[in-house]
Amino acid sequence: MRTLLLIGLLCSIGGTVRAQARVPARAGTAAMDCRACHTSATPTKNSPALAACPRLKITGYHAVDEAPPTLTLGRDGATYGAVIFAHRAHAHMAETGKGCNGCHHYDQARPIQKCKNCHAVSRQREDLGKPDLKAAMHRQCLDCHREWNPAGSCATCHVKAGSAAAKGAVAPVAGASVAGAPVAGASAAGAPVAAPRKATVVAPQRVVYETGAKEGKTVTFFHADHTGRFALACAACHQNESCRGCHDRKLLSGDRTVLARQTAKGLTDEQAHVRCAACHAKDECSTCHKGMSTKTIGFDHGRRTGFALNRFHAPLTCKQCHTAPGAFGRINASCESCHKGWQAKFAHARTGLTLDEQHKDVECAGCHEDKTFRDRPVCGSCHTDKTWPAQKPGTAAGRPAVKR
Amino acid sequence: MKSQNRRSFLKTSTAITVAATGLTPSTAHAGPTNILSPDRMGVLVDTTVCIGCRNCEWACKTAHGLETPPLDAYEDRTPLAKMRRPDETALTVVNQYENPKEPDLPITVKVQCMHCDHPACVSACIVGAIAKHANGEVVWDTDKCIGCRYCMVACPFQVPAFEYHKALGPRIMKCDFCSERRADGKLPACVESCPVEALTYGRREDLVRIAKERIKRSPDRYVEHIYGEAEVGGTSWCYLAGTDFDSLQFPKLGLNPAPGVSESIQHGIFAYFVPPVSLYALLGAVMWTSRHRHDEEEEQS
Ligand code: SF4
Ligand code: SF4
Ligand code: SF4
Repeated sequence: MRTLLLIGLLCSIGGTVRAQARVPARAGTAAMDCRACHTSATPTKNSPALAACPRLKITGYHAVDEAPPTLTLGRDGATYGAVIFAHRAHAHMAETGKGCNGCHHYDQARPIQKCKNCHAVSRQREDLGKPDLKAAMHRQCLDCHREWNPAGSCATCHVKAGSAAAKGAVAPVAGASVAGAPVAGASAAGAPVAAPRKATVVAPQRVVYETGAKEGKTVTFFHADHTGRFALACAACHQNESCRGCHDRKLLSGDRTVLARQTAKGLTDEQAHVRCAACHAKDECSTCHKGMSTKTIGFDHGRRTGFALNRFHAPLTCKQCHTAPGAFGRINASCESCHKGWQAKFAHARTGLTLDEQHKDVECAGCHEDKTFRDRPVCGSCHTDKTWPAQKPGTAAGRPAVKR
Repeated sequence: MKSQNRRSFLKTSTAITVAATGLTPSTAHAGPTNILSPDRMGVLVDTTVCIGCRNCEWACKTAHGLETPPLDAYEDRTPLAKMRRPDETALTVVNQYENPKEPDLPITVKVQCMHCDHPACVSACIVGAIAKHANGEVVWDTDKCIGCRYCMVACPFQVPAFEYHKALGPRIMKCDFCSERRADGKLPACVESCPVEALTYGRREDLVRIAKERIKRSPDRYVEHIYGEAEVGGTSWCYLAGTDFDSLQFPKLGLNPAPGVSESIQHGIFAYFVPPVSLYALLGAVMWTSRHRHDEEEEQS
């Protein structure tokens, strides 16, 4: 009869963690169990039933490269040996996912708690509400591992008791060889690193997106240029993503040079542009959507939006008005939304009405009730027979009287 | 075992039959002695956590002295492709279903006796060989069983299996909730072996509360249904799932305890005003003699 396999996995994220003024990219999003902080399931204002808080002091956040390079999780059991866990490499990968909080849940503050401060070592325990230590750790790992490597086995991470690896000097380091994640620290910590055992990430050369746009339908994204020439880190674009996005076995076997991808359905235009916008906010639509311009948008701008692109507006690019990437149809149609402060500079005499002493202090809106200035007010719009003077302002200077 | 054996049962029941004419049907009713302790134990199976490793299958077989390949062999996931039922060679099996939310991560469901609070198998058993105990388990007693297999027919979950291949002393085989291990203060073997604790062992009351909390905390993860909380009057093993229980082949059962077959036999008996106990005795005698003769033949050969 088998006894508990790997009882008492130790989450020995010991080691002092230096404080650094760096706020993590994401706060923990896991729905918290009240009992993480309260001893009662129904705390009230008057008796909050607070548990002894494990966060003794908040010392700030630290950079990924300060994370311990490797950790030994669990201990040698009857069937499997302990896992030497390439912690820092995983921390780097986690930057594109949920960050440190993906595993160190409820634990955004420092010092980082040992898992067993909350998760009981024994399965026969008081609080059945949270999994025991072995289960908690297995669940954390398997959340990602099953997703990107459903064919994985226990031996993906554990050495078999009595196997060559267990007897030999070389212990495999779980996850040590993920491309792009520096693992130099792994060997520096004294744990010998075995041959690569993990699926490496093969980044695509180019990704061709099929977008919903009428004109400039495809967008070619030069992935290799971005990671190579511009040396962008994965996490600069990939955030809060599932591991499989990059570690998909199916993608590994396919042709990774050009991938045609449909832009995910259900995204707003704005959401679809978010990643690119960080750098390309000032670029024209045509930078990515080849051939897209106000002339080729494929619809009647005047009809669809109520703002015809005539005369002065015809030669403009999309970007000159729609400054937020992908955010179309949101512009206030008033002149003021683009032409800030134009009124002060406007030579009103061009319209045939000189703003003389009587009129120069009148607010624009005093005569132009409609902010688009499309309807031209005539004298009679404001004045009655009794109140308007014999001559239209400006006629004294030699201009003819106009219709009233 | 502690109480009667088959022979003494027969003697006593025959004696009763003689004096039975004055007995009222209710006292003669061989129904279950339902001792539903508020502290009865159970297991919460969270199918959203289960990874289908089948460690539980291995542990169960090992704990019950059933034949099994080494644990390594269970890394082969091909047996999951076929639907299986618990039988006399495996008291628990794990089945696999398509996951509508995540096609690459199939749903796996461990199946075994549910240890009903009002077990149909117990009602069905005419000699009281199956009993529900205060600690939640529904267990079978070799010495009393006459091999009628009513329990197999009665169980709404098709759990009890019969050792057809054994000529000598065939047994009814089903999950016994690791009765002996638990008596020694150990966890059920399957619960102990589960690497992700998809199986949580505890007081049934606590487990139902925990299950409700999990649903409340992660409404996207679970359907709002604890299978076994109310089905057939409640079961000691309860299930959580991320998709409809129908699609995981959980039988759609009413909230009333499933009637045992022997109960319907009794109704037939009452229709003809035959005192039930005498019929039990008759049935028992027939079963016993036929089996006894069979045993003797086997012994002779
Ligand atoms: S599941 Fe079947 S065998 Fe198990 S207690 Fe219920 S009726 Fe009896
Ligand atoms: S409780 Fe015991 S008998 Fe029942 S399935 Fe689990 S290991 Fe097998
Ligand atoms: S041991 Fe646990 S995770 Fe593995 S198949 Fe059984 S219930 Fe599922």
